[in-house]
Amino acid sequence: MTADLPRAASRERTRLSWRRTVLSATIVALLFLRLAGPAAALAVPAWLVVLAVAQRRMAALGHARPYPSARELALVALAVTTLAVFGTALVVLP
Amino acid sequence: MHFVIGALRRWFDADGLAAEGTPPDYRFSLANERTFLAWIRTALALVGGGLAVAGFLPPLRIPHLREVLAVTLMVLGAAVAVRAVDHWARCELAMRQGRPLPASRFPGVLAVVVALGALLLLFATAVPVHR
Repeated sequence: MTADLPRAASRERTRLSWRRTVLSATIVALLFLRLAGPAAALAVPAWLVVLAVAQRRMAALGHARPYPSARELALVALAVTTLAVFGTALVVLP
Repeated sequence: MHFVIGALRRWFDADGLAAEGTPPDYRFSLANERTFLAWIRTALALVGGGLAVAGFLPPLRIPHLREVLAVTLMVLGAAVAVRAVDHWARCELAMRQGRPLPASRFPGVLAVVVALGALLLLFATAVPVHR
């Protein structure tokens, strides 16, 4: 049992890391809501992508082979980039 | 162009990465994933910071400085996110091939840029206006 502790802790840390990331994404989505009004709907798909990948990863962390796929992580990075682009448009466009 | 296609393949071609070398102990792979997530949260903080500067800061005495700072923060956020997935993929590949992990100047450069931006903002807000 004790020999498995580092492995279990590694999965747990990664699960918690995904939770923190979803919380961060939620805060940014709420900032959009506060600043952009109805246009904040544009930020919702990006937030949903982060949420969906996080749920998928957190479930996979209970499996025998908990490796992430490059595509999952690239989707998260793409979602964050989209938020940055929308935010820039919000500031630059009149 | 070749470089861009190579990078895109590395980021999105899940099977391509999985076919390379031998998978490391999953604890190392999960540590790499957590580092990626820490960078993603850094990117989100930069985007959120940019939104906060644009939305909650009063106009600064230098025209458009507020908007320039906000856009700079968000562009930095996008760069951090893209670089995060690239660095994750290169680390994962190095571990699978048993090579040393790639070194990077990016964290140092980002730290210097953020520090200079903070000093600029401090200067723009704290120095009294001379008439």
